[in-house]
Amino acid sequence: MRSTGSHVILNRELKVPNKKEIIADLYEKYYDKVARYVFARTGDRMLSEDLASDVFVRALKSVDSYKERGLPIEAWLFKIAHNLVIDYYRKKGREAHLESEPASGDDVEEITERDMEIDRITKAMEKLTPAQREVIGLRIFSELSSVEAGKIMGKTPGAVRELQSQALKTLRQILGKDG
Amino acid sequence: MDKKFEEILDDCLDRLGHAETVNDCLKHYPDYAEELRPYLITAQRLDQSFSPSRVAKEKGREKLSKAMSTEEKRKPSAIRNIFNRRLVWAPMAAVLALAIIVSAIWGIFLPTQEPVYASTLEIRVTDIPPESGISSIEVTVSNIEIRKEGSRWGWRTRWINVINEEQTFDLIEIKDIEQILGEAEIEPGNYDRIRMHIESVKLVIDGELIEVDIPDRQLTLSQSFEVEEGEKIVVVLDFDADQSIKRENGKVAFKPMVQMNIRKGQMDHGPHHGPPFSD
Repeated sequence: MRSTGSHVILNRELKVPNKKEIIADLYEKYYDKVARYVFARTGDRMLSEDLASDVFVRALKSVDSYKERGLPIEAWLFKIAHNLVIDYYRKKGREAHLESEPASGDDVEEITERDMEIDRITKAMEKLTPAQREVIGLRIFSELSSVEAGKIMGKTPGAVRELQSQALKTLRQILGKDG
Repeated sequence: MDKKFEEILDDCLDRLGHAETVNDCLKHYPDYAEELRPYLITAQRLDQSFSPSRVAKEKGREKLSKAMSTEEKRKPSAIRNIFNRRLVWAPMAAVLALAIIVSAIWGIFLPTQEPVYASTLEIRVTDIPPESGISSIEVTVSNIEIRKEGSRWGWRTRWINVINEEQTFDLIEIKDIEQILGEAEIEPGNYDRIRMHIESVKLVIDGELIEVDIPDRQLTLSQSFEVEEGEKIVVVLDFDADQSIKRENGKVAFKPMVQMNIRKGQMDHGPHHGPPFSD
């Protein structure tokens, strides 16, 4: 059965002898990658960390309906993450766009080099199209292959390669100036 | 951009993901090294820019653990109670063994039939306008299931989950429109029930958020309909907001009054009026 409500496009039943164990394992293995993917989409560190944990809670609730149809369970997680990001912006009542997180503390001296680098990257990512941002999130932040990214995005690996090349070209030009 | 270059860049990104350095990657493609280098350095900068904190991961672990406990509590305990009684095991094992033998014999004489998932069920909600003063009735439901009738060949009546995730709709906003809750592929056959779990109801009257009591969180509706192979069925749940909000003893309760319409393509099988069906 396919449920487009959850955007899961799968058909072979996942045998879930203990779904809690499966989700717990996935959490340990993929939490960082999911959080990094959400960061690439939102540019907000705290939001990325929060939404990443929500991804696994959502996965826990819907794992019974997980069925594989060419979309591995890892890719399914990123699909959930993608939907949660969209839901988040929809609830906030604004267009999905990157938002620079305020630097920690008011004192400029407290802003670390790492924070500045994140700020530069966030601002550069704002110049990308949503599809380019997603491909950077999946390929570079989450280290998925072009084939896996393509399955999640509904694109061919060739289209993914083209998007990532264009995205990196844009980012290189922006970051090259102030890097 | 050159397709060849795109492929080489793709390969190098994979290599960076497998802990190779930028210089390692460039050695594989010396002819492209000059062009590739700035792209790979950019990718590396992105890669190193953000990692979630250990504290956040620990908090997330706790959140997941709580969700797991909640899931566990929501499961019916009756079955577990039965299995905890030692005396019940022996007859149950005997019944199970008999069932296996019967199934095996059945399987020899009847060809196995793979279920066909070629039909589509779409579930929508709509609403009859409520009393004035109510500006929002936000209903969240989950675990929407339909019941497939049994057959004389031995298939038992069973509940099939069509939408597992929570779905929220505002009865005020869906007035005069139909909001699609979700769509699922289902087996052809005869169905006779739809049910869902009401997670929450948020009611706003004259700008004030009112606490709503939900006496029965399981909403079950009854209407038979047949789904043929390759066919699309639209189930429209038409809530009557006025009738669903009850004021009793100074409290506000949500007792959903729903009309269920089944549409097969252009055909309308007519409405099911009245309160939800009681199982």
